[in-house]
Amino acid sequence: MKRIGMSILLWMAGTAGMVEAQPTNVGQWGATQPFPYVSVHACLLPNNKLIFWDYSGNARLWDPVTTAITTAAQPGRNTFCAGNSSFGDGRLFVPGGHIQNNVGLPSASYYDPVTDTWTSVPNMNAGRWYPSSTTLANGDILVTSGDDNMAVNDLPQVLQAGNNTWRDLTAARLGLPLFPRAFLAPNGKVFFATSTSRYLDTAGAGAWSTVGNTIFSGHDNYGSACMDQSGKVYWFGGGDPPTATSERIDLNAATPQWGAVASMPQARRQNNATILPDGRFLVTGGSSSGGFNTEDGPKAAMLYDPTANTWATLAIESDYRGYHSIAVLLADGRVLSCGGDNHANGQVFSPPYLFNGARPTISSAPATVNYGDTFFVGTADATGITKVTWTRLGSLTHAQNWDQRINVLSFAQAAGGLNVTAPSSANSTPPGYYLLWILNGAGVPSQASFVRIGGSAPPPPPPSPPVAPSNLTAKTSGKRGVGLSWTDNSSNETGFKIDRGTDGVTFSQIAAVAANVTSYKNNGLTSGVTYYYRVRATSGAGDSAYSNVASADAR
Amino acid sequence: MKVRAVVLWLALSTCVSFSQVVSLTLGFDVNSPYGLSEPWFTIRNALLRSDDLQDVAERPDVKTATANAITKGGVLPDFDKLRKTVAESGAGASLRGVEATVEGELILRQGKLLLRFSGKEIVLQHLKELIQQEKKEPKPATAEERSAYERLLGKADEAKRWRISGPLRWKSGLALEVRIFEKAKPNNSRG
Repeated sequence: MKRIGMSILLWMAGTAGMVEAQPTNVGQWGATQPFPYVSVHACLLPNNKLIFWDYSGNARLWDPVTTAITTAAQPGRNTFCAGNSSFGDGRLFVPGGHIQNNVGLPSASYYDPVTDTWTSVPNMNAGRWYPSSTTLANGDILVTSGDDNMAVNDLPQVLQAGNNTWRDLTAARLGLPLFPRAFLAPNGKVFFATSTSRYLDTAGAGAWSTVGNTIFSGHDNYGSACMDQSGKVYWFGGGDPPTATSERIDLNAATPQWGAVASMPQARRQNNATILPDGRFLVTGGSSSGGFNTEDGPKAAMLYDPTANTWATLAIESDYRGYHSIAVLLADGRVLSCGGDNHANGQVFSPPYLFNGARPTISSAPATVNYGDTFFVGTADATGITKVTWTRLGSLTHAQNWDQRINVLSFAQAAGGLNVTAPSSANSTPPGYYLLWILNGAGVPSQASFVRIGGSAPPPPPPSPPVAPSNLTAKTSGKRGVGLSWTDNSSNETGFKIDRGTDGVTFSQIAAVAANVTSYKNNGLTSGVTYYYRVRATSGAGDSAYSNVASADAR
Repeated sequence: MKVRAVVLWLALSTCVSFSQVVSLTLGFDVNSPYGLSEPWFTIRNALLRSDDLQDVAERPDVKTATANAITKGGVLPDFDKLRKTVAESGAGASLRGVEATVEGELILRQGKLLLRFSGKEIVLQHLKELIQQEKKEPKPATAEERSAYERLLGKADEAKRWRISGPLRWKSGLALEVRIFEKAKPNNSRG
């Protein structure tokens, strides 16, 4: 036993970013609590219960206050390997599930925490095993990927929350990784942080546009991705053998591209990244060795500060948490880390901020706010508050938290509390339940209040018309034909309109071609006539400006 | 997906017209308990990022743990580099082997078969082991596949140009094991 303890100390001493082992520096893990099942999926609900289920979809509720575990209503199908994300009203949507490895269920349903019931929605187009589920700005939910029958289901579908019907994005069929990490982006599209990263525009029949490549191609392989308050998406770990590489992309940049940030103190895969109330990221669990799920011992938690771009190594968990483990932020500011194959238990981590002095308290907060509202938060600690945030309730499986995100809220001191302003954009803050935090100058967060936003979400900002095409050329092509080609400068067009004239001044539209098409052949012309052409991109938001005019003679 | 398949086919046809390496079938071993399906996109993206291949199938054949690929310019890629790309992809995978489909001129020299293509001669050999097999479910070659080399030897004087498919070996000189063969079609005889 002494040898093991010494080994751990030596290992800790050799770990980069190690700080003095006091709770104020490294936090503290609580006692291990047995769970009846491995919590493969776990979601924090608006009633402050955590619903979790195992390999057979056995659903249970864990109470973070009492630690009691009770039986929840059962989904009536195997929700193992399904997706999970929340509707704006707090219901938990669960698409797909498990028939056998790589063969998914086409069924989908939602759990209502108020009534403790599961309700089915119409089946999806086909099965989905390992799909992603992403809540959109209007409260609809996008479902992508997942294996149907040994092959990935390439049709993105949107469940329309208003009437529980599916809208197929038929123009956006694309093979994606299983459980692709997807985020509602500031521009209203869905950003897929896959190794070839893309935006999916869910309007109409859907459209993809490529953003760029990650530096390390293996993050998709059980790394954990999350988004900060300013629209930056991060990758932490993943790959086999695992990487310590961390990357970031700023979705608000004019040309977003992945770039390296400080590497983790230790390589990990099957790790979980959790956004904390102060905007830092806690990375827990995972394996550091090669192999799919190598049980190479319990791991230290690691804390990333995105502002300072630094890592700190925190206290070591008691159990190994690898494949099929989860970690979720609780309303008291702690983090539950639990599950993993062969580890039917959980352990709660108290981050260092809980040892930095007295916590501010929230005495009152509204249950519901609207976009852009200024609302009152009662607190006797108002003068000491330096930051107000909220974090969306976590919803996890397979090393990814599909729902979590954070907003920093602007605020002003008021008598007896704070006037806090809710975000005005549903793109940065999809409708749903959030944990509202107030933090003092020492970075100590309050206990959170559950606040729902989205009662009257503003319509998403109108989409911009596409950018005009350029470099139009016209060349005589065969008998009585002219061939056109141009450069597509737009990422959101639904097609191109082609105009023709014979004097270079007046034009009329002669054809329309689909998005991403950059050439057209105009046949059946009159020999000896000079024809003039121009092209413009079009979308539901309108038409672009015209390209240059190009001309050619028909032979 | 259908569009992608058509594009792949068109590219393949182009390769046939201008070169003699028709296509490759890449075989993989993976750490994932779910076979090639799960890490496939990681592997594929890494391969596409490298400069060695023109295109790689969007979907693998999970039953045989293989995927089809098209070479750039119809020439054989650097297989050691390809193997390194897969190993460093982060997918927990390794390149188990490569099967090539090649068109060329058959040569019988001192009782042994060679194939001339792209300005070089490649030794033809008996089939030893299939590329197309998932390691958890080993698949032996059929009797017809195992006898392919002898049968080709017996038909060597029937045509000059042949299309031959089989595992490539490159560690000690390039060699192609004969698994399937057919006479090259006349319109594919350039190169």
